[in-house]
Amino acid sequence: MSDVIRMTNVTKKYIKQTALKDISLTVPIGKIIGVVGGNGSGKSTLLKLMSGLSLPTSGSVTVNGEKANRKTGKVVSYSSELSSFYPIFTVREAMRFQASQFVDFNLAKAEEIMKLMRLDPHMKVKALSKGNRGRLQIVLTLAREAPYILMDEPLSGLDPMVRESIVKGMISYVDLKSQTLIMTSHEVAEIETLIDSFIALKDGSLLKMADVEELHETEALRIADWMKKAYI
Amino acid sequence: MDEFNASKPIYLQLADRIHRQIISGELKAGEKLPSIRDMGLKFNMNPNTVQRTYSELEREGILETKRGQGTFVSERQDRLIHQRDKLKQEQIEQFVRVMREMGYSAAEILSGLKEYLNNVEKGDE
Amino acid sequence: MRQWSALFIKDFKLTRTVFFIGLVMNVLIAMLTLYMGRVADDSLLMFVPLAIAVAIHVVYVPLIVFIDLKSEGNHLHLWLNNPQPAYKLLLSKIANGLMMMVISLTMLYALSRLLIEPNFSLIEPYWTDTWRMGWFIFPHMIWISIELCTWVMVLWAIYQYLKLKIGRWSWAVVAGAAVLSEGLNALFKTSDPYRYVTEWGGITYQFPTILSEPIQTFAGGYIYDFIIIIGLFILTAWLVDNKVEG
Repeated sequence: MSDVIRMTNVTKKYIKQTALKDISLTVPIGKIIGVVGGNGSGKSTLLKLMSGLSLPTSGSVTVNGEKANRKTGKVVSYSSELSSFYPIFTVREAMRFQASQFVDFNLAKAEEIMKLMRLDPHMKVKALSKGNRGRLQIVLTLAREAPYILMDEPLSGLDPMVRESIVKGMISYVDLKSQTLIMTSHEVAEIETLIDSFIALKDGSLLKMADVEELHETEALRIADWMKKAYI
Repeated sequence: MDEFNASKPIYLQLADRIHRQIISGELKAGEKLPSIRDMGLKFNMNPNTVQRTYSELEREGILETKRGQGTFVSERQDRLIHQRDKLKQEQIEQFVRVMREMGYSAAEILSGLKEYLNNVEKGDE
Repeated sequence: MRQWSALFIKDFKLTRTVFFIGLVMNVLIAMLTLYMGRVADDSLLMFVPLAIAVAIHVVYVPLIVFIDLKSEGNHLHLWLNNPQPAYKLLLSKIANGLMMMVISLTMLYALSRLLIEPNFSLIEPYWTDTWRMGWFIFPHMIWISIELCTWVMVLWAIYQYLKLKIGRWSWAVVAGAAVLSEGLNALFKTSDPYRYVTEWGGITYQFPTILSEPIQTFAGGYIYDFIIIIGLFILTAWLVDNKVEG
């Protein structure tokens, strides 16, 4: 019952702008969820609040019944849009470090994903190409057997081949019996068949949260087409 | 996924695809289907959606899940034959409805269809 | 333990460049000393660069910890997402800085020793006091360095917090806070209540051949510093756990 991420009337203000306005929603285990919306609609902020890396200005965010804060990292595997890692490590060292810090990090699984992603374990992280950074991000994030996996724009700026392998990695390694994957993306068409539900944000407000199939059934629309209508 | 459109839920579109594969003989009675995950990987599709498709087809009696072994095309030929007939019926109904809407008579439809099939068969030879 | 040692190694790797540069500089200073010994022979002046190098080590731990925190700041979410409590994350940084400082300072001492050997006649009258003073300075440098380090950490954490609340002038606020608190601290240290609280358990150190005045320390003074160190450390850990956002 309490195994959900719950946001209740969450508002997040920064000095100059309000990033999110009065968001209330609940995310259960066992789903792949896409967060969609234009630039500056608050997608990244939403993910950071869920991961406890950001704190709401008002309202509350709870993860599995506990108030989200830095220590939410125990149950949330978060990856940022910038694919940032400690530059001092090699690929394998980065994996080992992750394994030493997170009890739920499955090193064998990480090695497997690494092979699937064709990453060279001896490569220095700082020498990786953008595509390979995206792949490493997948390795480090999905090898954790955490109930919630939060990925900020895992597909953005990568070439189609890398995106394809990342999507395959998500399907293979997210266990929907015990995990939920929440990802932001502006590649809406690409994730249409991948996600169960979507959270649509506009200027920091929640426009709609619904099942994708529901949208197909009731409006016979793809998310992208629905967005064109809804975002005017 | 260009293979799927928005006119119909994706899980039903996948069900239609499996139907067609069974009727065309591409999938034979008793044959094992890919696991939910592999099927998901094939179409970059959410495993929950594949699960829903499999459940739906099981409900129809087309697929059978054997515990610990996977999902198979049903051995029960009557079900498959029934399904084959049902699909034929559906297609014919749709075709006839469209033809009637355009004002063709039964005789015209029948002769047109015969002629068309003859041509196609000649073309095949 | 594996968790913590992996953290420690990570912190070492993040700061090792500065550490190695420091070691190279130690060698360069030793060479400078050697050179000065040649040109200005028979002069104790040749040991001035070494003495300065030792003195500079007082900022060693805060400097390393600051560089470490700054590099974490490039991708703060990585550090904040680590589920270990902040005190452990911070202790790893202090321990790393401390280890580097001890190694560097020990190296300087060893180099000094090597350089003193051939010029022993020069320093002979002061020798006993010199090495006794060396022993006195070493732990006190570490002590002060750690205290400065806790100040740096708390100011960094306050800066990270304010950055989100007031933006670009946070550094000014933090600088103001630093000056103000140091001022208050200094003021308090000259006051009667401070003396009343801390002036017990006195120890007197005499280095008659070097200093005419003895150095007086109090156990109470150390305890006062210790309380400040612990207080600032707890405050920093609390800020990181509850207020800093990534």
